[in-house]
Amino acid sequence: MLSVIPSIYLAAPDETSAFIVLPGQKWLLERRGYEAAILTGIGSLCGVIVLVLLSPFLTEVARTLRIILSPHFGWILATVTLFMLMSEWPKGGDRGPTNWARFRAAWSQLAAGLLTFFLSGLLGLILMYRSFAPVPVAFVNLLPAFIGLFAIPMVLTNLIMGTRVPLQHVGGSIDVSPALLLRGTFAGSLGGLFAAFFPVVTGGIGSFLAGHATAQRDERTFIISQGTSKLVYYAGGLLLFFLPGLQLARGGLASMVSTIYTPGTPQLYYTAVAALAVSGAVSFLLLIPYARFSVRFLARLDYRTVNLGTLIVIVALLLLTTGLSGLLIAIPATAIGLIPSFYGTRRMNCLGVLLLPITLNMAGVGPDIARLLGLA
Amino acid sequence: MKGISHFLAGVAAATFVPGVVESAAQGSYLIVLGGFFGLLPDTLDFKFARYFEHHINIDPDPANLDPQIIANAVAVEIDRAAETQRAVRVQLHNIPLGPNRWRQYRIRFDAERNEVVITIGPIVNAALAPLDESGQRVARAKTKAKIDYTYDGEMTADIWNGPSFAFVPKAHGVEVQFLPWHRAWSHSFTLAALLGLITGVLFGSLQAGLVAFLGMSAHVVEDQLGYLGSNLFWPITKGRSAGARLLHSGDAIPNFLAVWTALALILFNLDRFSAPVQNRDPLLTPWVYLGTTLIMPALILIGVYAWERRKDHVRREVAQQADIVAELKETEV
Repeated sequence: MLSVIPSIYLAAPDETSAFIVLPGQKWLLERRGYEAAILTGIGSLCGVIVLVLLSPFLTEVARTLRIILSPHFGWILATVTLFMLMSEWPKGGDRGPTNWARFRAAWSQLAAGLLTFFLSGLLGLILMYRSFAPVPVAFVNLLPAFIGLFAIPMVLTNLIMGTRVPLQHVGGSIDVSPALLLRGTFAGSLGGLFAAFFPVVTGGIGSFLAGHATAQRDERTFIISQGTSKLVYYAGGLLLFFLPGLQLARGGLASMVSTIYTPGTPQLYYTAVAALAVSGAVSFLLLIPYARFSVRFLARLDYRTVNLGTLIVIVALLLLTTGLSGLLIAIPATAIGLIPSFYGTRRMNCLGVLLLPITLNMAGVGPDIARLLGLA
Repeated sequence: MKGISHFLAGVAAATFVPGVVESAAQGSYLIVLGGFFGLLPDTLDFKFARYFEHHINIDPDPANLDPQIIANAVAVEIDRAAETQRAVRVQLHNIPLGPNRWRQYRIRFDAERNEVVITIGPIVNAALAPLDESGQRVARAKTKAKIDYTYDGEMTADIWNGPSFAFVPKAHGVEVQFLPWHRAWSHSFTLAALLGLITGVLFGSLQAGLVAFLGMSAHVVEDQLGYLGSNLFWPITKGRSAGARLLHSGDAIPNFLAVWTALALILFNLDRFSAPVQNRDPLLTPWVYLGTTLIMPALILIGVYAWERRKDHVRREVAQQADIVAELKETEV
């Protein structure tokens, strides 16, 4: 829950891209970063409540869903990918000497999105079939790609464009009605549970689906849904691991824990639920002073210096964990990750790095395509 | 309705086609076509059709920003439609001033006075935050023809494309229609049947054709539930029909209900049709499952929606225009 602070306060978009970024980041430019952080926190708290309320039924629901859906994972993943690609709409093309010129202008942006997806997918295929990572760090094979696709481009764009974060307004109350809260929580829970349950579907995709399911004309609902979805994805993913008799290891934490520990009893499951409830409540109580303190602290920081420092830390971590080969993967990944910034397309298209190779593998054509590309 | 509602309705429709879920459980991806065709009508409109319509461009000059010029230009086209008795389509363009600066302006049709009202607004950035409030002016231009305009709101042009209109001469005046290229030929059962036929032939499968037809038809039916319908049997029918007036297409509750219903039906069909393939009995008891996940939530949500709308006495034509404006907003994300 507390991770909302860096994800909103330190992810200021370049102003020219404000219409392609998420409302939370847009609000930061409008001096409403604090409000966005608290709304996201409220969404997360609602996510905790949803998980606690669902916990008595989760075992039976998850067991039933697993039996019904297990032969269908492949096409469901393809469907999510297709929706992601089809639901990006043109944001230009209104001017031009001819209809074709307008059409080309509109489609240059859409094509950039598709190019991002397929280049990321190609990178994913290469990494999956020809890992560059040395054997001792093979488990972080995709780390350089993710850092290159998502983290470095955002920091670089901020550095190049000289993004400035205005002084944030800290209000005494939050304007949100129960109806808006319910809508955001409902959509966020659906997206988060979907992402937590399905292998490969990340929290980002869950949030994306939740965002589409909310009324986007009201950005508050959207922000709440993002908080709920993120929490339900991470905490729900871990909770699934504690389900008696199921132990579905979804998400990084559950996967890591599953190698050394196997929970088995209902008592342990409900202990995990209780821990979730307590930590969720404590996190929310901590969030408010933390968000206030961060506003004051960030006002004193030079945003360019923060970005430069972030870039240095990212590259250093990359070199430490994956060595020079990791850096060599991150460089082309960064080039792909910069396409959305330049063409105003969704950064989410970079998730092609996971979605394309795994969808192809689930369809049974992954190895054939890898052979065709000379990768296998 | 929202893209995700249409997309999932298409997938849900596909699960009803005999054999599709069974084959999906054995690795077939045919079912994905349902989602594709579910979203296809809006894809055709917003990614293709809008760029190939013939219209008059009204492109305000940032160096000589006079609202009277814009208002006059629009009024001239309304009168031209009345004089020639032919529909005139107009595209208003936005006013970019720099990398992150747009001059906002608004257009309103005053049907009582037969005037076009243009209001020059502030300079805004991409976040729509006003950067410069100076230079705001209003101008009116009178039309000779009677304006038949039903939407009570203003249309704004700023960072996105400006609005497009069709001025259609009718017996009682010139009717102002929003987004004339939307919900026309692309939202018809005839095109759905044609594409279903082509898909069936291309795939060499009746199932594929049915999935395509049903997926696309589900979209048309969903849109028909609102105030503004579609050109259902193009080219036999010529214009957009009136909808069933059960909901506003941009409202949250109907969209939630559509998404939830589609998901519930998909799961139900996956269970009962995959069971033989998996050598098991269906896990979901039909009446219990449908009662608790479909009927009960539907009744609650419809009740809440009806309660919310109890004082909603908007004229049908106004609601139709509001619906189409809501659809335009959907593609701005």
